[in-house]
Amino acid sequence: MIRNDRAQLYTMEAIASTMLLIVVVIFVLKAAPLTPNTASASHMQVEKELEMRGQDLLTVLDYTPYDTEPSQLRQAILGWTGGQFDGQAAIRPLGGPTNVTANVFKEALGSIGIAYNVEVYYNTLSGAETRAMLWNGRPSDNAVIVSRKIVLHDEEMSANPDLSDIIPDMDSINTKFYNIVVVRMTLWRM
Amino acid sequence: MADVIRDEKGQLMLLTVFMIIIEVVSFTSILNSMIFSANLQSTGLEESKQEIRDFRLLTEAEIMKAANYANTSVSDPTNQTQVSEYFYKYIQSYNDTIKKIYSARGASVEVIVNNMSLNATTSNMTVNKYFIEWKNHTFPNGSLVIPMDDNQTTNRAQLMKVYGLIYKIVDRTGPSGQLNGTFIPVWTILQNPVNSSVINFSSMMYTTDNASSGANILYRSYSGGPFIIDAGNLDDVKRGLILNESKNKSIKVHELRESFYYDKAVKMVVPPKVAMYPKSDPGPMTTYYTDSEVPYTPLNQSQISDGTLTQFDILTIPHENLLDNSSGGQNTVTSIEAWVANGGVLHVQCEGTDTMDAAVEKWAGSRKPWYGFIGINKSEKNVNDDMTYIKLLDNVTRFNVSGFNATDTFNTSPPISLSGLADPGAPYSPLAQSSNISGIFGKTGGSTKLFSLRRNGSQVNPAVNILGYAAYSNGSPVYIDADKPSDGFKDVQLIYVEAPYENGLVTYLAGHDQSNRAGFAERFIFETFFAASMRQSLVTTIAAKNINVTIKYYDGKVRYTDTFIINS
Repeated sequence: MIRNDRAQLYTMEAIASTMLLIVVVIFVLKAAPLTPNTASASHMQVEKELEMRGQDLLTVLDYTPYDTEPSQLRQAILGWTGGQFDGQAAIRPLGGPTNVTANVFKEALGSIGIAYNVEVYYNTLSGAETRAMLWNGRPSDNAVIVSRKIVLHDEEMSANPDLSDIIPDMDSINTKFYNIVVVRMTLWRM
Repeated sequence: MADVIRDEKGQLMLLTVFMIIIEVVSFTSILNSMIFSANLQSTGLEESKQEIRDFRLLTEAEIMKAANYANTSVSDPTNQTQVSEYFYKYIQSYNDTIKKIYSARGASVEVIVNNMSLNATTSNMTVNKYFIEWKNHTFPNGSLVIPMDDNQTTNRAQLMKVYGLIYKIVDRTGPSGQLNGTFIPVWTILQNPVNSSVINFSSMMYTTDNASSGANILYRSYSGGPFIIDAGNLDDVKRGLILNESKNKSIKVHELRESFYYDKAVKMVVPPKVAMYPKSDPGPMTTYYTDSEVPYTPLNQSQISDGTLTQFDILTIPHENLLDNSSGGQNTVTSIEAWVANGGVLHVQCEGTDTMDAAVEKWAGSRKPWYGFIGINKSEKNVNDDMTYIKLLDNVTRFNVSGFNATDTFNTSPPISLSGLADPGAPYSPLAQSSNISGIFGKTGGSTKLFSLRRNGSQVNPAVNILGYAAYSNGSPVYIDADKPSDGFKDVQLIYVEAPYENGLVTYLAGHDQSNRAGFAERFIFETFFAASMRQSLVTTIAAKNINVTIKYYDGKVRYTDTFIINS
């Protein structure tokens, strides 16, 4: 076969065909359409973009323009009474800062085809609890999670007894520290 | 050209070229993917970075909060132990909670406050509005007491010298003397001067009558609003300076030998700057200030109008006709009105009282609904000097005049057409402190000896407070129709009134020369001091500074420790 040109030719053709097939397969895979349930390394960029978008949104919402005025996100938490609101089309916490913040989520994410859930995680005396604030369904496998921590103080909690019934005071030594909540947002492409 | 269809060597060469092309394409694709992957963010490490960043920012913010709360939430913000304990407790609660938050994510964090310093800052706070803040205060053993009754002297001019002394004690920019540049707050206790039978006319203190020698220690009764210098504000040097200065002025200084508590004490931390108008003819003002040795600045018309007046806290005007262009004039009067509205304390006497009201009404009448600053009428018909005694009053003093109910007081209607006009009256007012046991001061002459409030209630400043009414020598009120021209109605005649005017205060005192009145009525000139200085207070705060903090983070992939300093 070494001296037989025909045999070498067949071998070379076989190798070339194999390589062609591999290239075609790679090309086809790369060209596969994105679906909410598509998981692949090629979507890292998309996930990263989602994560950045969500993190930036929380950062902007937690901006405090003046010392005396709580951030929009903090106001949303402080005005929340613990209820879960489903569906981004109809935001149910009518009125108040929670509604304003919910509308911001809707405009910034929902309007460009990004689904999201917003949950509040906090410590309790016996462990920890999570409550959904805005719920749009079960996220896909490609969902990303971003979060923002907010420290609550006694003076902020006194105005909302519903909230203080849910989130306990973790300060046993009588300072104005109250608790820390983690506002956790899950985002995925629809 | 070779026949590549039949020539196997030719086919081999073509295939080789084809394979090389495919290999180059594949290699390029793979290389491209490798470069792409290498440049993608490392997700795990990025997450750690984000967490560390959040943790640090949150911790910095909460340390600032803790420092702020420590200063504002403790019962005594000047107590370093309380401030420090509160701060550490707050951080402990924060640390415990944030630990649990991160542990749920499989990370451990810790906040350690290595050390911090507590800075005491004393600042001078100025409020725009005139007000009197009574304070509960315990004066410790060793505090200096400067009596303002016959424990001090029975000589009028000598008593006035005390005002010069306290001015110098408080004044950190004093013009001369050993006390120049020394700053020591001075307190006074506000008593009820109506007469010696009322509660708190006097107060018992256990004192020595000579702070230098410590002699004659016993319980003494003090009236007339004695001045007290808290022992906590004194050291040996300051005490020596005060005692030396008082000795030079022949002023007696007593010393507490046990602590003394009072619930209506006021504190002067900045002496008021006193202006006098007019510069050309100060009349009896010169006597007052010569007696007291209190520094003052005479102002002329242009200085009133050009804004110089705004540098002063008190303006004193004697018997000046403010309606006369040579003495007053529109610019002068409107400047004074604006200055009072902005917080100035105006003390006007004799002819200045009714003409000031008329001038303010004439040139600034539209600024308020009532007449002038207070709303008074000059009383001149059938008035004689025997009607010019001053009687201090309170809001329960009976209006003991025939023709009215025995239960009528200055707060009922009638005899005065408005109610609440002597509420609270003279009791506990810094403007009416006196040791005069009858509450009656002697007579004097003057262009405006008496005045009355306008009969139309809407023309009277609703916040007016009557401190002293016009009386005969036995203290009975003067109730006559003294209007010129007569309006056919009798009015309660007054001599000493005060009224807040926007952010400031106006006091009117009829009579020409208060030093002529028996009973030390000259004191009323200087009692605006405490009223004016109440706008200033010292605020001492203990604040956590230079807080040295270490934060630790570990999540199995990344270990992070940092120590930094936060200046709250």
